[in-house]
Parts: sequence; C-alpha cells; structure tokens
Amino acid sequence: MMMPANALDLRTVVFSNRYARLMLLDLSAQGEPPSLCISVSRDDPTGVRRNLIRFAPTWGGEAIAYQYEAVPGLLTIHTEHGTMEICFESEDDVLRFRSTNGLGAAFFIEFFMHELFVDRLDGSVEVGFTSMGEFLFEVIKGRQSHDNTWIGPKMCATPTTILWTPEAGEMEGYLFWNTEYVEKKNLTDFSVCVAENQQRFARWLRMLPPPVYGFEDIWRQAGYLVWISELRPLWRLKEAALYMSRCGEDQRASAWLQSFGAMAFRRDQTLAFDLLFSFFALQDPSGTVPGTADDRRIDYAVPKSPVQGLALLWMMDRIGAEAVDAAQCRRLYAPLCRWVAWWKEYRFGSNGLAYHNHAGETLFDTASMFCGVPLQTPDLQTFLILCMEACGHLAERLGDPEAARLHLAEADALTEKLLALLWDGEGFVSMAADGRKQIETAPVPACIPILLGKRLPQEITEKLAERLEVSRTPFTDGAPCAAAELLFTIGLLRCGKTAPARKAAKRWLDRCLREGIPSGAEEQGPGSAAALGGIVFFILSDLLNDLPEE
Amino acid sequence: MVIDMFGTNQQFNLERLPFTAAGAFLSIYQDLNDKQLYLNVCRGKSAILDRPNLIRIALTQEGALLPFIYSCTASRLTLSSAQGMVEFTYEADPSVMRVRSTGPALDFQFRFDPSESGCVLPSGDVELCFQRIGKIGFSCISGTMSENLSDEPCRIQIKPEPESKVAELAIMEYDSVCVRNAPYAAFDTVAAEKQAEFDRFCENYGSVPLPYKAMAEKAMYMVWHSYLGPRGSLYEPLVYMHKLYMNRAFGWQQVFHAIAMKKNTREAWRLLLAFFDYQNDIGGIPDHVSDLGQVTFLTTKPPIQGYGVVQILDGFDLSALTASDYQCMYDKLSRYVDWWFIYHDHARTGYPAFYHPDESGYDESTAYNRGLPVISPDLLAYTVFNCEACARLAGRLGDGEKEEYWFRRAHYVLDYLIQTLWDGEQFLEYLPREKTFYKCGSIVQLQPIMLGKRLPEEIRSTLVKRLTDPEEYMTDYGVASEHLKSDKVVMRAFTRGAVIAPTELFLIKGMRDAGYETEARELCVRYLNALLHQGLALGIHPYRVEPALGNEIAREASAMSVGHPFSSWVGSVFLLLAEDLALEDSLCD
Repeated sequence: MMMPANALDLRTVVFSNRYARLMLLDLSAQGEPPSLCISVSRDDPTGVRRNLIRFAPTWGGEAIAYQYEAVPGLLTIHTEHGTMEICFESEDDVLRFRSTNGLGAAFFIEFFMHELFVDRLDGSVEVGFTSMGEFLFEVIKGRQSHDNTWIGPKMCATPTTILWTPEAGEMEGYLFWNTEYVEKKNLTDFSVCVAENQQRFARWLRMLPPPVYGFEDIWRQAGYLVWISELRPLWRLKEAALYMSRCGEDQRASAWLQSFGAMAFRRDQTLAFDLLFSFFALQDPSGTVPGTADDRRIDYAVPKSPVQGLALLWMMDRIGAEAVDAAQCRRLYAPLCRWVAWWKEYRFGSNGLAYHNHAGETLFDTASMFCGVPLQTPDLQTFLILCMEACGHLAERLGDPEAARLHLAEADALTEKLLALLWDGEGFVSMAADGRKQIETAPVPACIPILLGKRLPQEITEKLAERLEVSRTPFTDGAPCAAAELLFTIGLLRCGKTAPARKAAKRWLDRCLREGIPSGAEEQGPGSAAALGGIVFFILSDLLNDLPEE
Repeated sequence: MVIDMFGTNQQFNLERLPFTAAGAFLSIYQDLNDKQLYLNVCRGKSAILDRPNLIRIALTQEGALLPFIYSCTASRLTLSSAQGMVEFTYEADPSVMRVRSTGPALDFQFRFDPSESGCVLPSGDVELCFQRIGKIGFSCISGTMSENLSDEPCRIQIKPEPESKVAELAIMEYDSVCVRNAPYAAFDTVAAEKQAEFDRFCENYGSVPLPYKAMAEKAMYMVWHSYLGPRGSLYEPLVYMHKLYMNRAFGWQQVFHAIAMKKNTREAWRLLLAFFDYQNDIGGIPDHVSDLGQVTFLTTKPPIQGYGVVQILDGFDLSALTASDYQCMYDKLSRYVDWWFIYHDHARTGYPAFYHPDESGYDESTAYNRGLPVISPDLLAYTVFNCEACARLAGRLGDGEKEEYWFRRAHYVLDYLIQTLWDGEQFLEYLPREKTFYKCGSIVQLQPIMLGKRLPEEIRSTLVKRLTDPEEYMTDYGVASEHLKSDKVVMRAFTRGAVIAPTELFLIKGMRDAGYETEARELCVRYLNALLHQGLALGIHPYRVEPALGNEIAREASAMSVGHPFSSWVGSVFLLLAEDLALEDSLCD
C-alpha cells in the first residue's frame, strides 16, 4: 500500500514524535470507522501488539463515533459533540489529551498473564505490559476512574477501561510511557506544547534537502515519515538511530539504514555522522558491526553488507572533502578500518574475494542464490571496495597520506579481483566461496558494481547502464525497491552518466508523487510505513536539486 | 570416584534438567514426550524456552537408528548402544561442547525457521544461524562430517573413521564469528578438567548428613551448571533458574544461592550484589534478566537482599570482606530500600506495598485475591531485615548516626507488623484502597516467623503451633503454601497448596531463630526427605487429591508443572538446609 501523498493516514504511518517510542495508529481497514490504538515501538515476544491500548472519545461516559485529522505535531479527534486534541509533550514519551466541550476519553486494555495494573491511589494509574514497558495515566482536569480487578488464580487483570470524565466541560490528561518506571510529569501549557512540536518539525524539515519544485507536499510527507523514525538512545541502543519501521517485524534499526540516513542528512554534519557512527558504537571486540539492533537485542549473527563506505564517500563528495569535520573523520576512521579488517579476517576466501555466509546478510532478496554455501557476490565486493576507498579518504583528511595510499591500493586490488573473477564478459556473477562454482546471480546484486563508477572500465559501465535503462523496476519480483533505485541512480552518477542519473531520480520522485512514498505497510500491517522510502526520496531530491536540467 | 547422577536407569533423568556446564548456553536434555535427546541453546523469546527441541541427537549404524541408554556425571554424558558409546563433555571454554564416538555414527536433525540458514564454511566447518539463538558451529576433529542443509529436516552426520571407529566433534555456540586459536586437547583430558572444575565448585559448600549426600551433589550440579554470564546483558555470572524452563536469572533467587555458599564468602557477597548492577537511577532493580536484554522492570522480586546480608553477617567467615565491600553493599541496598518506601507507597501510608503479586514471588497466592496495592506481612518482614542490614552495615563502617537511623526504621516497620497487622492468629494484608484488612489461608500471613526472636513470644508460639498442625498447614513433605482446608487450594499451582522451597527455608530458619529448634528440625527433615524422593522440583504436591476440591492431582502433568523440572533455586535451598542440619548434628556431637 502506498502512503497517499496528501494525507497523514494513521493506518499507514503512526502518529508520533521524533525520538519517541510511543505512538498512535489506526487499526481500521479501508472504509471502516477509525480504530485508534496506542502502542510502543518495542519488540514483544508474543507478537506485534499494535492494539496495546484502544482509545475512543466519550460522551456521557460512553464511547462515541469519531473521525480524526492528523498533522505532524497534532492529532485532532472530531465528533458530533466537538473536538479533542492530542499531542506529544516535547520529545518525551508523553501523550497529552485535551477537550473543552464535554468530551471525555476511554482507554480499553486487555492484559496477558503477569501484566500489571495498579491504582496508585494518588490520582494516577500504572499499567505495565510484558516486554513493552509501563504507562502512567493521570488527568489534570477532570476525573479518572477504572473498572479493573485482579484474577488471582489466573495471575491476570480483567479487561479494563480507564475513563476520563470532564469536569465543567473540560478534560485534560496524559499518558507517560517508560521502560523502567513511570512517575507523574510536570507539563507545559497544552497550546504551547502543540506550537513547540510544530516548530520542532519545521526545524527538522530545514535540516533536509530542500524540496524539488512541485514536490513540496510529498516532501513534507517524507519528512514526517523520517522524523518519527529516529528514536532516542535507550539502554543497549547507545545512540539515536533510524528504525526501519515504527511497527511490525521491522521495528528495529538496521546498519544500512543509518548509512542511507546519513546520506540524506549530509547538510547537518552532526546528525549525519551521528547516524553513521550509531552502529559502530555497537561494534563487538571481534570488529563485527551488528546487522540490526533495538534497545534490547543486538544482532551480531547476521551482519549486513558494509554500505558505510558508500555513505561516507557520498557525504564527502557533496560536502567537500576539506569541509568535512576532522573530528568526525577521526571518530569514524578507526571503527571503519576495523570493520574492513573484520571482512578480511573472517570473510575472505583463498581467492581474495569476500563472501556472505547467509542470505540475510545481503541488502536484497537473494536468498535463492544461497544453497548452503557461502557466496562471493559482486555487490559485497563493491561495498567493500568503497569502504576501503573511504578509509583512504579519511586517512588523507586526517593527514596520513601513507595510510591513505595503502587503503586505496587495497581498493584497487579488490577491484581487480572483482573484474577478474566475477565478470563473465556480459555481466557480473556470483561464486561459491570455495571458488568452484558460479552461481546464477539475481539482477540487483549483479548491477550494484555500477557504484564503482570510474573504477570500472568504460565498456563495463556501459553494459551496466544499458541494463539499468532497460529494466524499469530492477527488483527481482517486479516491485519497486527503494534501496536498489537509490544505488543505481548513484551508480550512474558516479559513472559520469549525469543525464540518466537525473532521469532515474526524477522517475522515482514522479512515482512518489503519483502513488505516495512506498511504505510496505500493506505487507507488514498497519502503522508499518518504512522509513527507507522517505530517506531515498530525500537523497534523490538532493541529487535532483544539484543536477542541472539539460 | 565419579558417580553417575542422572540417566536412563537412575532415579532421575535428563527430562528434569539438562546436561550442561557452568557458563554454557548449549545443553542437552531429554524430551518428556518423545524421549529423544535434543541439543539446544538457552535463549529464546520468553522465559520458557520456545525452541527446546532445536537439534535432535540420534545414534545410527548404516542409516538405521540405534537404541541407547544414557548416564551422566557432572562432566560427561555417555550414550551407550550395542555398537559402542558416544560421549559429551565441555571444554574449559563452556561455549565449546566436545563429542566423541567410539562406534556409532551421530545424526543431528533440525529445521530452520524463515530467515534462518546454514552453510559449510571454507574451513569445512558447518555454521547454523538461528534467529535470536545465535550461531552453532560443527567442527569435525576426526572422522567424517556430511551435511544436508536444504532439505526438511536438515541433517549433519558424523561417521567414525573406518579403522579406529572413532569420531570426534566440537560443537560451538557463538554470536558472530568463531575464533579458535588453540588445538583441541584430548577428550578425556578435557572431561577430567571439567570434572575438576565442578569439584572445585563443590568446595563452596559445607558437609551434609550422609543420607543427603547424593542429592547434595545433584544440587551442586544444578546450581553450578545454571551459571551463565558475563555475556550480552548479563554483566556478571548469575544463576539461572533452569536452562529450559524459566531460563532467566531472577533477583531474589541469587540471594538463596549466596547464603548457601557457606565456604565462599566472597562469591556469596558477589551474588548478593550482582543484581544491583541493573539498579536504575531511582534505586529499583529488575525482576529478572537474560543475556538478550530481556531485563524486566515491570515488576521486581521480593527484597530479601537484606535477609541475605544478615545471614552472611551472622553465619559466614567475614575475614574475606573489607570495608569497601560493606560500603558498596550499603550504598546499593539503602537506595533499594528507599525505593520501596518511596515508589511503592504512592498512597503515603508510610509502609511499602506490593503493586503486583509477582513482586511477592508468590504469583497466584490467595493473599492478592482482593487486588492491589497491598501491604503484605511478608514484605514488611523483608523490609525489617533490609533496614536491619543497612543498620549493621553502617555500624561496620563506623557510622553510628546511620546505624541508629536504620534500626529505628526497622523497629518502625516491625511495630506496625505486630501492632496493626497481627490479629491474634496470623498476620493480615492491608488494602490501602479500601482501607481494610484481609485474612486468607496463604502461608504469606504466617511467614513473618522468619523474624525469629524479633517477634514477641506469644506470636512466635501461635505461628509455630499453626504451622506444625496437620489440620492447618503441616504435611508429610513440609508446610503447604495454602491452608489445607482452604477452598482455594489448587495443588497444580505454585503457591496455592504446594510445598515450595523459599517458604520452607524462611519457615525452618525462622522457627529455629525463634527458639523452636525441634519443630524446625522436624520440618527440615520432612522437606529434605521429600526432595530426596521427588527431586529438586519447585513445588511438591503433598497429596494425590486436592483436600478441598477432591480433584486428583497429576503429579507430573507436564514439563511445565511446578513438580517436574529441577531448579537451581531448590538446589541451593536443599544445600543450605542440609548444611544447617549437619552443623546442628555436629554441635550436638
């Protein structure tokens, strides 16, 4: 399902805030009345619990029908009796509710065994969910009541309704979410809070590449999608990171998304480098950079293709190598070198090429290529070459020309191996790591070496560019793949094919305008709009702004 | 001489606990239903391992399955068939399991979930990659290894050399890459070293009376092999409850393990402190933890760390502890006690309350039938110990002012317990929401006997009389967790009638401290004998038929029942009680 270009549809994208994990989403199907639920972007072993807390406005203590209108920073509930406003408090996980026309609110909760409901008897109620954290409910204006009881033998609370009832027509309350403990919050004035949220969003938009003329609305949509995808550090997630999705199976950060995010935010060096560094902060003693991570689980078993080099080169190229902050270069240099060293130590075959052990390590759906053997793929070599090149440029920036020369020589050597062993004259192929068998290669990884740009002989780049031109949707199953589109567009540019690169970027933006940012929510369920679509939109917008029309 | 502890022809087998080692995430167990042996990894989505049957282990000869029996010591699992033996042990690095076959081939069978896979590495090793679980590597040391990683089920097969009839294998568990720098030592050498490691661990404990010696060894094995960490979000070695069932380290259970280690004060102290590594900025500590970041602050566990401190100060050799140790404990414990007073008393009663039954450790106890929050006598008893522990630590540190402050707080809570919650027969729950008191049949309301002589004599005698009355709580196996005539007895549950380890410990030691040594001893012997015959299970069902409802109890209804899996927790309780008995006997001698 594509996210409609001109609406904040909470069936696709959640209502949330930058850094927050708390969110509201609509679980209704198309054509049904809305069904707003409050949930949290956190892994739960029982499954994705989108309907953690159901919400409804009330009149006279009874739930009533409503519609909603959501813009970044404010969610407005419309009923026949009036409106209710909902917003986040600052960048905290505090969701605020206000009505001034007699509307109340009801929160419906169903509990699993061992979950928590306790009336603290100080005006607040604490609700806790296994693995999902705890909520505090409190009203500032009005009354709070509930119908909770405890079923001893079942070690479970009864399904519970928390009711907020207005007094003198006014109701104001909040929910606060945290992982470890929840206490009452001091809040700012509601209207001020809304205004500040909207200002924060506006400031955020200014950090992004400016919109291409005619794409302003979709640009804002993409901006919101990415805004809510950056979550604050929490426990094992040491740095703020972009989550692939706020809801669903992909509600985690992935290493490659931070790299693409850094490319999108290259105008704000601090943010860009912070994103790029976020997964190096999790690098283990052997040098493994995890493939994905959230606040509790860090996956070292499936490290992803090393796209960090591509991201760094992109940033240095567009910012200007000398304009890149030296302190940031110093911060990244050692961990990036360790990352390259990891591949050389643990994933290089005797023929001098790197291999993946498992399909999940690749960026693309290439699982069919893996048949119990580690695979030397052209995309992996490409990303590694770019990492080596990036190490060289960092070394140069840090004033170590000898180290720079060695890194670049390494990149050259691996490029030669790639061409010697994985180019069959017509296209790139993959090989089993024992070097004995060529494997039929999926189209996407076969074309990724175009990213090497002028490292490749011209006849090869011509063949790759021609293949990309012919194939409008390069992803194996015919569906658009944002990452592939991005990489191929950059690849064309690096080959000096400015016009085709411009054309590809414009084609992508036009498609987004027509169909909305590709979200993946249809496959993954409500609220699971993927941040990647927005990130790619911004990188390609940035590129389009800089490439002159012919 | 090393004696078999578990096995096909032993009193207990690997259906009740796995063959594993301290620090090892890999383990082998026997499935209760299909009776097969399975290799698994102590990691999963929830506290009960969701994939215990990860890799089936079978012996084969020319493709046909071989029947076998098995037996195990602390260091070696032996599968014996008509065609020869297969043995398992662990290297000093517990992430490596060693296997040796002298005859049969080995067949490992498994299935992948979506997004999982395996491959043959250039080294020839086979690497399996599972979600959440991590990686398992198979490295053939001698013999031949073949694999099929694309069919369903997948297989890895190890065949002995045709001439020597020997095959050796290393099975490794790791997160990202397997780094092996040393050659593989001889199997028997490795097994002997592992046995020596276990024997050294046993030196943490004192002697036990002869009838309990064999079970004591099993108990020590259960505790030793349940150690995990440091790894991931396990910052220090902690003792898991079980590597398959409730595969977590629980806060209050570390205290039981600590106070059982009478011969190693440093390790006891370390275990008492270990959960404070997770103490948050307002002083709370989690309910349980795992290496996968599954650290639960939703609830906590009973705050018995002060009880543990008092046990150590009163009964251990303190020469190994320094002022720095006392200071560290004081700083953390005092913050934790304050947390209970502040963050578990939003109603401002002046006393901490349970906000969830899990915080009492007695999850489905009748004490919480009337809802929460509840000021509970067991919590207040723990709080008295906590305050007293802080006072005594402050005293050891020479801070008279803090010492007095904390003793005052201890008396404040004790006075409330005695003056307000005692109704002449038992202690009551207080419900701040309704401002009412609540009486029930839960043992929770008699457990404050653990305070010993801190309670007036008339309270002590009333409690002991009721606890030892077979019409009320006393059974052949120990004190039941719910009054035996209660209509709420459900023996299948944890705390609605079963005889359970933590309660027995508190009651036995409490009665002894209260001056009722004979009654304490009687209860102790009953309970230890029950464990002797039924194993180190969390709960013992003292009757075949539920007294109130007349339902017949299926004792081992499933691997999940409280009467089935062994628990390290019960192991430590067994050791502690048996050690105390031996000490008593030696004093009498």
